Amino acid sequence: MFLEEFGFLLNILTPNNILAMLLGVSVGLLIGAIPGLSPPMAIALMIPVSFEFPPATALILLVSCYAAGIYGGSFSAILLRTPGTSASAASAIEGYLMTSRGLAVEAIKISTFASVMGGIISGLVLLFLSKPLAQVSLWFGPAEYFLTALLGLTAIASVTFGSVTKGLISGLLGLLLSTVGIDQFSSFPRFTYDMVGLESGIGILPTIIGLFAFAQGLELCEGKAHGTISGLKTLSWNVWPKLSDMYRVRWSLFRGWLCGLVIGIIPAAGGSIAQWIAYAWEIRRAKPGDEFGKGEAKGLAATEGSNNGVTGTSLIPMFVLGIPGGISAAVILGALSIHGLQPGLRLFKNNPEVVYTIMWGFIAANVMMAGLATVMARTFAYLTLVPRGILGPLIIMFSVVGVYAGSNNVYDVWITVAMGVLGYFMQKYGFSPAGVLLGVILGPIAEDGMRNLLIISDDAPVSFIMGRPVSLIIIAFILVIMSFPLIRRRRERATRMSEGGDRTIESIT
Amino acid sequence: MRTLFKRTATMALAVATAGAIAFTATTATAQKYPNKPLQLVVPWKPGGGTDRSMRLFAPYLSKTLGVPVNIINIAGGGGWVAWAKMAKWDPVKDDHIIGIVNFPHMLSYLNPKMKNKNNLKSFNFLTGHSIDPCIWAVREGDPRFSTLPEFIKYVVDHPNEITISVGGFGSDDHQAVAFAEKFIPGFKVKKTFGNNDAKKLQELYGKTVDAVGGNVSYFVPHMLEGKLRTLAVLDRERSTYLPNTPTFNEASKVGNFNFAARIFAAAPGLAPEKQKILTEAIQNAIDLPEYSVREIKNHNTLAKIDGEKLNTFLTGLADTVGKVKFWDLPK
Repeated sequence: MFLEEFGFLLNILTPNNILAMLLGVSVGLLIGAIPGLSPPMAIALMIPVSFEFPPATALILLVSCYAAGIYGGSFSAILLRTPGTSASAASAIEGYLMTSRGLAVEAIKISTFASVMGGIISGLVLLFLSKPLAQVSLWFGPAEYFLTALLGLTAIASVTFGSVTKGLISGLLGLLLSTVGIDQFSSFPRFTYDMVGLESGIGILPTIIGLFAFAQGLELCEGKAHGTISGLKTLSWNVWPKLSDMYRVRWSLFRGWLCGLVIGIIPAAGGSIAQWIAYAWEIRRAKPGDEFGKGEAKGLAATEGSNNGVTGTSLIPMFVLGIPGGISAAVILGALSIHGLQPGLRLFKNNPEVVYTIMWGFIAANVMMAGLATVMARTFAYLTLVPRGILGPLIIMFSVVGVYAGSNNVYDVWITVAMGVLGYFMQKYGFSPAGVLLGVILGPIAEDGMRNLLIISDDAPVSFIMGRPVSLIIIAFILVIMSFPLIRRRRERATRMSEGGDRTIESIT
Repeated sequence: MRTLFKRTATMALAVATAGAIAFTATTATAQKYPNKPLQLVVPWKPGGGTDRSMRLFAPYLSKTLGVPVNIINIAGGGGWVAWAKMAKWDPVKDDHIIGIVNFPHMLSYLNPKMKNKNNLKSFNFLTGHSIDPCIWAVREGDPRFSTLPEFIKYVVDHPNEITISVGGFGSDDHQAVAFAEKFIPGFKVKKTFGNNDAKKLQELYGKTVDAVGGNVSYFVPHMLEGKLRTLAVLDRERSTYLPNTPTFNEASKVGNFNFAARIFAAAPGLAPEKQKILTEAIQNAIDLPEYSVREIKNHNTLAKIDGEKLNTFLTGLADTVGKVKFWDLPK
């Protein structure tokens, strides 16, 4: 039944297509790794280059750029705690903690394996199952978006280490910040104080760069200027992932991939949400001996698997229905139409050679990424040997330049700086920068979903939701994830009490 | 001592900078125009519709202008971070920079809540690039309606039952629906907001909403897929891409016109000869067959409208927006 798809496998082996892949992967890795420059920007920059190519080659260039951009963002997240893209912020937690324990190369190995395999699996799903799966994206209306955002927000409780109250305060602060800007439903400017730059709200990119990269830069400026973040003087050359290394994290990888594949199909959800849900799921499944919050490989495997698991399936609604799931997919759709191709079932019927060559190209680009990335990651890993006193100011400089380069908007730079200072003190006092970020990302999705839900349900959202099976499934997930911290606490308290330990403080909180 | 050194260093730097600026300024006036790369400001982040279209256009403009054309994205404030700058460009210093203004987005200044002091006169418009008419569409095969008169009759008979997905509050699509609510007696619909074109179609195909307001360029491919049925084009004439779809006026006798237009602007008060060179280069680039063929593939409607005609077009659009006052309408 899959003969048609296989028929186009050899098309990707022309020199032009291989060169396009190489160019796309290289540019994607580089731009993805620089905080502030995002995959959609990399793809947009490649559009004029791709004009003169035949359609399939042009699109191979762009999808390669996309896959590699998401993966490239993980380098800087893991090695420096400066996520290069919004889809790699969760990797900055366990990944960087691994680096600071001197396990940078191990972390890179897991990230490479999880990303490359995640990309390949996602590409295969795109190739063979896109037509039936595209319908799934149509099950998502305002109610489902609201609930998906809620599911993402429940992740805050799981990914907060230490005080849950502080985690919730962080999340609520994020939600509050997400309300800044012009209200989409009445064009009323909220909390803008007559500043034009705030009218479009607090951007996700300046938030991430500020909370993680800028704050990290500030933190590195403390302490001994000569020390390195990993405490190491040399790096191992043993960068190629081995299957035996992956054995311990195999289930985490599967869960991460699955999470990415499913969330990828939902338009507008994407890697930045998939990562957090995968991470929360992983913490929920923690076994005694796992060290979440201290550099746990399982957490990294899940987050890295999920963000690349998204890449292929997020192109499904674009190819089959002409509905791009995110900015990157929208840019790719634009490039298709520049070449006179309109996505949809007609494209599969009239130009199967183009569609399937692009999809095979996407899979092959992931394979090529494995090779290139390993070499690049090793080079990037040298950054962890740079003294903190040099690295800190460099990161601050790159954060500011990166954010400005993306939007040419000075307000974004100020938001980055403000978020950086906020993130620095939050980290110091045990609050959760991740909580703020999740609030900023999910707030608008939840708000738009809720308000549109109220409109279409004539202000009777509960009875409306009850009639929608997909909504009920998401509610079930939310209940499962929410009950987890309570169960964990009860179990911990029970253990402590049976050990006769001091329970006074814990039982009050 | 240290402060003294600092002060001297700062002064030296200031003198050097001033010298450099003076030098470039004098050499620039002596040469022909344009004599350095032209910057083209896109008021959105990379990857949006306007950005894609301009990245496609830049190489052709570069050909007719004779200098490289670089895209600069200045994002934020729903376009206003860039537009506020455009209104303040200096006719001498900023003579190698042009930008795109999107309509009706820019007319948001008419909304008193925005406290925006700019208006149409704050800008120096060169020429149009494209004018993409609005259309209304429903699912193909919807048993309730397949033409605009049937749709209007259904809405009037069932007030507040039909939902239309219209994108952002105050967008061209929202304004077109608001116009209908104001000028067609009994026309009352529910509207969902905050959606881009992609999400609108997701809502329509997923049966969350009953109709969508959008633009010709984005929806034509979906019509060809046989999934979308266009009710009307909100233009004075039928679209060449949709010859069988009537205009709103033809189908309902209501002159409901709306567009998404991209207009080029340069520094206010720019010297007339420079203005002429830029306008001609843009229009010649739009006319290049290899460029227009590409835009036709995108179902874009190029429009080199300029001079008095452009003024009439923009003031007409502003009048409509001012009449409908979408910001005052009840939900």
